[in-house]
Amino acid sequence: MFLDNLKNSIHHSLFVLLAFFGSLSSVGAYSAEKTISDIANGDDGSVRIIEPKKEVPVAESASIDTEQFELGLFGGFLAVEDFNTNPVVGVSFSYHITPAFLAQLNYGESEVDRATFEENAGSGFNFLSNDDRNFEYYNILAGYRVLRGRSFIGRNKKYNSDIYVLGGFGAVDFAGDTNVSIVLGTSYRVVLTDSLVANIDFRGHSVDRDFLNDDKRTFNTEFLFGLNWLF
Amino acid sequence: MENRLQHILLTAILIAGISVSAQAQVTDTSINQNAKVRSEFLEFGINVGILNLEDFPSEYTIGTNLTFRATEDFFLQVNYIQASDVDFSSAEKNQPDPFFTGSDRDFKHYNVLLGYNFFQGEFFTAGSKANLSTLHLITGVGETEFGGESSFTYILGFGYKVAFKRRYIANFDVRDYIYESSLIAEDNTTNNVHVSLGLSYLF
Amino acid sequence: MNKSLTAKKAQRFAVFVLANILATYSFAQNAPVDPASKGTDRSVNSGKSFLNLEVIDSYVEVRTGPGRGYPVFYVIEQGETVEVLKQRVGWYEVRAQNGKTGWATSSQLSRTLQATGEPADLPSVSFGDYQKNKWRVGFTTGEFFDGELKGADIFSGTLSYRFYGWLSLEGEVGKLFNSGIEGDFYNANILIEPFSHWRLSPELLLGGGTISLDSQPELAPLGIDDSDFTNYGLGLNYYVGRNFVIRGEYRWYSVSTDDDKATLESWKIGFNTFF
Repeated sequence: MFLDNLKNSIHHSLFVLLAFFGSLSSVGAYSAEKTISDIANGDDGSVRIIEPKKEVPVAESASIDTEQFELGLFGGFLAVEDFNTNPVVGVSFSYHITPAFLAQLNYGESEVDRATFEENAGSGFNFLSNDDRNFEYYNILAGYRVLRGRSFIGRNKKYNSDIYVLGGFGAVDFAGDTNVSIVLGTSYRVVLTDSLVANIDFRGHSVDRDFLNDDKRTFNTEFLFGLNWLF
Repeated sequence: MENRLQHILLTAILIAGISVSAQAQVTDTSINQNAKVRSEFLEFGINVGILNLEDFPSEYTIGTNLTFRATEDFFLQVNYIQASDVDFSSAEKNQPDPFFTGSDRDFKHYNVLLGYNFFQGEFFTAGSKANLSTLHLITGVGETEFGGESSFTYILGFGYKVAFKRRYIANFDVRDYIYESSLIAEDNTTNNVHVSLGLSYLF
Repeated sequence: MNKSLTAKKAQRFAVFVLANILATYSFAQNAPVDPASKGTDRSVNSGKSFLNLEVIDSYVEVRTGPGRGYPVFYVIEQGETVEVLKQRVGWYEVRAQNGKTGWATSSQLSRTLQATGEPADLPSVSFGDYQKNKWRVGFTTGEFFDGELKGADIFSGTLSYRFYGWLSLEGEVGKLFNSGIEGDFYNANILIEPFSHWRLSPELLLGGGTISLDSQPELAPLGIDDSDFTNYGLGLNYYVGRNFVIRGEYRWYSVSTDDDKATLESWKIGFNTFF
């Protein structure tokens, strides 16, 4: 049942994503820049400029240039509506479609503590089985780079950084109920090295839940810190 | 005991913060003989957000704040936020009477916070035009009123600010309001996560 | 009932989505370029006249933003003049003769000359100002350390007026919170600070006020409720720079209740600032 639901939602999400990105037919074309010596030794070879041996080293900060994929681990906190806030861990996989767009797959889980009303009911009585206490989610998100810039720490440290807005669909399995979720989020991403990106994210999971005969749309807030390996 | 530790920790952060920054600024000067130089130290802001109350549903909030830029690295901020008419939780709907009703279902909170700019930054919108930004960590104390209870509240959070025009600054904040509540069980420490999006004006 | 609640939720979610979109949109819009930042057309600002200073240091570094991390993109040389546009903490926004606009530290800018040839008059906010200033505003937080309210958290705001270097009057409004109790207190105190010219200076506090307590839900009757009190305390002020003073304090209270006297003790820490 859960798998079917998940498949459905992923199919659905994929379709939406394809439609979304299909409409964006612009893919940036990059041409290799000519160096001074290329120009100097022009096609006719008539001009020759002697370049000085001393070259000023070009300080380049780490950036996402040739890398297209990211594999990430994240940890943070998830606040579940009507329950409480607990640690969450997960993995993510991102694909940079263009410099401005990315697609991201996430899986995360969080063990939700007994809510205070459950504690009050006494230790013998369980509203949720141990399995159902696990808040487990999958989602596929589209990310748009709203801002591109740099972050500084102290006098000398400088990192390329971006702010993304994320949105998409997924599935949440919690309290014996699996439902399609709508996910919205933001991501502050800092390029630490050429192969490592740190991110601070917020994600809101809006999902229907039928629990204690109360069928309602819940909003669950997640904030997290992640490290991503670029390749 | 735990309370005292929190207090001491918070205090240590506060003192360290102000000391370090102020030390670095001892040589700071201001041109005051000439009124033509306007200073920009204060920010007034408004925000909307979502608050995930522990043991209760999530609710929309509106808020307002005043920020004083004390130094390059630190700022002080006073906040007021409110969520009206918090919904009944599933557990409340399942019992004969809700825990409380009426105006007690309004959530009101104010606080005094100290923020530290972890990242100074700039973002580019058009060409090489740089929009100044910061990513900050923030902590402080305040008061929360909910369910007929007033609680001393610790605040921990992070956020970022981007000036998309010189004086207009977009704010994104995630904050945890931590307080003891006896609404459902005696002295239960609750974490209430607040996410907000705001706009502030620098003057 | 249920349906309307769901509708409410849906509506709220829609608002959230809208807020997100709006935020995105406002960023995606190319913000109009401030003519001052381009600086190519100085006549735009001809209506305003700015403070002009001549650089006497060998150079002044100009950064893209008011912070130590921002890159230096231009250097103003000795002998050039700069226009001072805006001030932020520790930084001035300046415009060079060629129109380049950026940020310079206030310490570098203090070593400049006015048009008259005199050194730029850049008095610093210093300890002297703190001593001269009459009004101070403060915020403290702490805890009741002993007595009936042991463990209660406190925060308060203060406003004080300094009559002489060693004598001030202070008003305090505060709140306290304990398990099952919340309360307000108001008090007025005389502050005696004999060595106020020291960076780290002790003070003695004497005064009194009113404390009113309320029980939170589910609580047994209290020993004290609305009561007057007298208090005395010892404090330490430490001037940390600019317009900030860190303040620590220990205080003893004597509260008169209907039939008895109760004692309380508290510690507090906070800051004072002056303008």
